[in-house]
Amino acid sequence: MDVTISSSDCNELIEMTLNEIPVNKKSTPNYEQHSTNFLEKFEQWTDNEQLNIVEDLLKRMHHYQLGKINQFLFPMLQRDFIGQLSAKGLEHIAEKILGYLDDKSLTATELVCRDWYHVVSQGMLWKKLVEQKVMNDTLWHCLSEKRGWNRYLFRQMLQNGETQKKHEYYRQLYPQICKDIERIETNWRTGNFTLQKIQCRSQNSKGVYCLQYDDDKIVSGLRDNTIKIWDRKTLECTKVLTGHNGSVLCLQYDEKVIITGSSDSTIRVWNVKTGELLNTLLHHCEAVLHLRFMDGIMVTCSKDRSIAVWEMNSPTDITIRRVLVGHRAAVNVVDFDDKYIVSASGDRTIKVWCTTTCEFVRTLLGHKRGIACLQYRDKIVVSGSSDNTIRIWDIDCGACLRVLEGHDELVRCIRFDSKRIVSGAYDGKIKVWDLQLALDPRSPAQSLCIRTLTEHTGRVFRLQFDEFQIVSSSHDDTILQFNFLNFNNPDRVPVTTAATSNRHLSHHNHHQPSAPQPVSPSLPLSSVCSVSASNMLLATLSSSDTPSSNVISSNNNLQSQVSTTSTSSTSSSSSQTLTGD
Amino acid sequence: MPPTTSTESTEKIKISSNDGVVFEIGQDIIKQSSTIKEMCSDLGDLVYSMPTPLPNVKASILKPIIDFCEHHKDDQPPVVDDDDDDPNKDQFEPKRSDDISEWDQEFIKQFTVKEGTLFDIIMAANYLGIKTLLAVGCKTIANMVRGKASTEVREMFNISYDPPGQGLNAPQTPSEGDNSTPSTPLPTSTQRQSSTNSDTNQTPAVDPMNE
Repeated sequence: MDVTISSSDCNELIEMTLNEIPVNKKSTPNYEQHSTNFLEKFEQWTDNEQLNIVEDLLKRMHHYQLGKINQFLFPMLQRDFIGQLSAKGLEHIAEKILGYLDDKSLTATELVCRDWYHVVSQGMLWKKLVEQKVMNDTLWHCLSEKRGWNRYLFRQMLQNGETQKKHEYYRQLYPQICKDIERIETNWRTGNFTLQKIQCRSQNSKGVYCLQYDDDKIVSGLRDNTIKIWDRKTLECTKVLTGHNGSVLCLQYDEKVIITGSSDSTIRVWNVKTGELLNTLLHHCEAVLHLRFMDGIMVTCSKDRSIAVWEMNSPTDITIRRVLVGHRAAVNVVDFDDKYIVSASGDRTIKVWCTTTCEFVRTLLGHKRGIACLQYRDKIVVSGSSDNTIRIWDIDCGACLRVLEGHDELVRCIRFDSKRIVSGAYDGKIKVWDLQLALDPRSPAQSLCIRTLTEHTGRVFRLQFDEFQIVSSSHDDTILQFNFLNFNNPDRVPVTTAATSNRHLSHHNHHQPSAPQPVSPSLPLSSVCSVSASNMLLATLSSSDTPSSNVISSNNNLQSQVSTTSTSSTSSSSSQTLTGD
Repeated sequence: MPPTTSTESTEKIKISSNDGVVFEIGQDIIKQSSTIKEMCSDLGDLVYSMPTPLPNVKASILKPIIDFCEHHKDDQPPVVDDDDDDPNKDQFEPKRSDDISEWDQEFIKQFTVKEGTLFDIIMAANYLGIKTLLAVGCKTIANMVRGKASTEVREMFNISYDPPGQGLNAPQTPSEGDNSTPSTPLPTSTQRQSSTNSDTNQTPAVDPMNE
């Protein structure tokens, strides 16, 4: 029978089938044609019409057929969220869901199916993941700046000719960052670093007692009574501040001032940009051994056994708030936050004081000899002692959480962050310790010291470190920079030649030998001439690459000429990195 | 006499689901749904005289949503607008999904992937503009996905997968497309080891520290 099916005929057809109920049905001739037509009509009907017809159809099928239908119906009813949301144009919800995932889960979801992959890429979810890490993890944050990929985050800051980065960039970037972090961690563990050495060329009294650094400069206090500021890129001494009549034992600076303490018993305040002396505080009767300042408060401590708490209203308006007494020997180090002041002394004790009231709180006992260094942060105090050990304390209960043994001599300087403790000792050794392991009482003692660095040839007096570097100063009159980032920046002036296979300390080439160094306009005219003369002298000598004592002495003569008063003084001596083993 | 501004009103309004069930809700629930709030301001006084229809939500989903809002009516409104629409917006808060409250966890358990009700809740929360509920739903699904291999995820959501390159569903292999690598070079410089032992030939020197 050749039937052309119209919409009204459909029902007829079905009724015909009902009425006839043939036992053995033959295949319908032109089945393809009929079913195509039927489906086309079906698609034009409303939802309800379609539902009705399907219901009617189902009622006319037998059990076996319905079972089959169920088999392909059931999976269709499973909800693929992401697919469904995308289909409804609600990708932003799909992105919201997947945006909660960590990197491993995100990798897995990308491989689920094409729809899911699209959600991840359209939503730039890898970019968001990197951004989250950078906002919440200091290591990622610092690394983003050092490596420069931070300019592709958030609102991308593109340079000439760059186009906006696409999602594939960030998918590759994430694991690369993880590898980078691993590599840096390995460098710390294996002692793999680039070393930069600054020779301070102190004249008579050698040694660098204290330092602080940032991305641009290192400010150091020396045994020759001066403060020297070094440029990080060129390793040049850009300023020499004179005025103290004794060794500069301690210092700290912020964006406005440098504050220094000296064995001349005074505390001096200098303008950090110009080097001008702003204030001299006379209070202590003996050497000022350590100082810290923060948020308008300064705490200083002295060989005279006392601690002074000061109020800083301005660089020129600093007054004593309280004097804390109690230690029975020189107070070697002090640190504080808004909760506690912590001091340590040759009397073997650490004392805790309340910052707001200056009342004594408790004493931490344990070290067997005098304590030379200490740092206090959050709830943790880390101290180093003449008994060659380091102790970690909980400040609230006063308990000693761990004793770190390993140094063979007095532990003279110590710092810690969330991961590591770095300590320097009298024998010139610097040790890196795993803080997290140390805080876990189950860790065996042998596992705690990650690395020992033996670059200094004299007592290590002070050090500071961060995720990528350690900067240390020593009685050997050098400042060392250990760089674990191994950053190879072609734009920088090449001051290190670590690329040589030479295992010895790097030789630093003197650069720009012909150009006289720029001179600060504040220098009086006579010294200007001396400066350029000295530089030219240095230039001719260094081009033959033979450092000689002549050079050193003329340079130092220059320095003593330049500043005898306490006004600002700059000396543009050339790179202080000629070898001197 | 109904007050003129709905935000200050203490009057209840009626809403109806798409299958005809009517619910009465007060202002403390209305304020949690940006959609209903908007409807109220659009319809003005009409909302007090007849039920507002919600064509996209059925009763079996609307009722629990009202319960959810009832429980959360005293919550502080979120301070930061959790705004996913702007791809350039700075993300400051860590994206956590492990911070669903116990009550919310119990609440969301009634809705499952299998029956499709979890999906319905999320769709409804999105339609009604209830950000807290939407967040709970999204976090719940994220938690289901987290830590699973892609095969397990496919099983869970019954997603068909054809091997790469062969099926409609297969993702492009990630290496296709833009081949750019990060342009700032990662470290390649040669390094030095620190194992040199230098002599210590210092004469003991002055140190102002007491020992």
